[in-house]
Amino acid sequence: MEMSEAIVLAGSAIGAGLAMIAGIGPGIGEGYAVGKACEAIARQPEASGAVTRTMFVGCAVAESTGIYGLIVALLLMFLKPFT
Amino acid sequence: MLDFLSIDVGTILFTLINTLILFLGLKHFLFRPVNAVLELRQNTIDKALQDADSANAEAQSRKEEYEQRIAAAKEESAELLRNATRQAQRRADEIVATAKADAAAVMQQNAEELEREKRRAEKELRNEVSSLAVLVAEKVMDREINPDDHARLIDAFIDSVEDAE
Amino acid sequence: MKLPAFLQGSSELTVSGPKIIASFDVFGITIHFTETIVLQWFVIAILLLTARFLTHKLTIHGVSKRQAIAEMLVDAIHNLVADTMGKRWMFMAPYIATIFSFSILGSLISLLGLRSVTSDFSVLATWSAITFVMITATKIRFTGVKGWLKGFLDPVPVMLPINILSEVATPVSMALRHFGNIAGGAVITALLYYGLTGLSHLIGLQFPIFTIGIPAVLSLYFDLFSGFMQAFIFCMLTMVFISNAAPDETDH
Repeated sequence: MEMSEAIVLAGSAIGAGLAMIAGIGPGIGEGYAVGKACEAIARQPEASGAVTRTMFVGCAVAESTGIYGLIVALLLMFLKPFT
Repeated sequence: MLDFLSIDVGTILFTLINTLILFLGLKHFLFRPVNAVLELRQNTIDKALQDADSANAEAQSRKEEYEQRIAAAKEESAELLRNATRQAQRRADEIVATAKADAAAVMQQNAEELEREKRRAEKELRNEVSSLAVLVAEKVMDREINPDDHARLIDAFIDSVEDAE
Repeated sequence: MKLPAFLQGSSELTVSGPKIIASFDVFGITIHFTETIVLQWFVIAILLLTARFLTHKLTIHGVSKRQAIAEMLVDAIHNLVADTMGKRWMFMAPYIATIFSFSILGSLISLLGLRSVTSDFSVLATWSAITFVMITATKIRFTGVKGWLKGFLDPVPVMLPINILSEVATPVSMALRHFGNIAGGAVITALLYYGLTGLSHLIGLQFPIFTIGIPAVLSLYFDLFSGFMQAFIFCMLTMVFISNAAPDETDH
């Protein structure tokens, strides 16, 4: 294995790891959303269905950025676009 | 083998066709029959409700009609009763009046009879008296009247008068 | 003693796209016929046979269990569309049902050891392209071509690139979200199998004993929950974007 290839591989692996830092944001955001949803359900248990549905959709949207990070990480690890 | 994240024209084309097939299939096999049966059921329910409404209205109108009829019959019977009572009253009055008239007529007749009898008796008495007077006069003329005879005669006269009465 | 190859577990990690079964050239473009298409046919066959089975003998009175399930499903889709989009969008119900059932079953066939239909990005790209076309068609229908083009200059003409970007970002993010969840789950499951097999071999076992049971817990999340959630969210976002593309019902 040539030196340049090794450097690219190492860089890809490090990049993949760094890309997963994107998981922090959705983690915090979704935790906050679920906490608020719990409060809402505690205050209005009769609206739990609508609250849960909205929360899941919101969580899924908030999760997008984390998923983008995951896709970038997967690309770097398995597609190896720079080698 | 395709890449992990790849956009492939063939897959897109076939996916489009497959999605269309599934769309049409679900529409044809699931949505159309179920919607049809739901609509049919809705129509049946609507019709049943309508029928029930009309039946209810008919029953209501019949009830009203019957009530009217019953009221009319009651009125009629009361009228009949009143008429009968009035007629009976009238009849009773008539009977009483007739009876009274009859009684009055009988009384009248009796009184007239009595009157007639009295008059006849008076007439007879007067006839008797006059015949007696004639008799007495004959007797007076025939013989001398002694006091005894006189007294006897008077007594006899009075007797005869009393008898006549 | 050497175990047969299929009992040795996954001793090498492969993360790749669907297999190409056949490929042919049409007007100079190479058309691939892949594994995904065959699995789609499988899913479609299951769905249509189920629909045919459920709506076999429909009656008004004396509803059978099958009919009750069919009516419940149709009613659920109608309610979802009516709640999210409003009554005037009821004609969208079959399309939403199509995407929803296709997506769920396409994700769930990974439970049978098959490749998820939805872990192929082309499939999600197609569906989100359909959604994009529908959004644009709705905008053009309600505001005309001029109004649609004018919408890109809103509120100031400088915003044109950003507006175009946000317009394109909608389907791209929808496709990537769904793909990322399902494919990411598949990759993580593959990694787990690989790791557990390696662990089994490390302690000198030829048969990967750890791969029994342990991946099921992750599969519960990545296959069942994630597959269901992503299908629901894809449909939800499709409905919300399309109904938002139209003006309010009161203006109409």
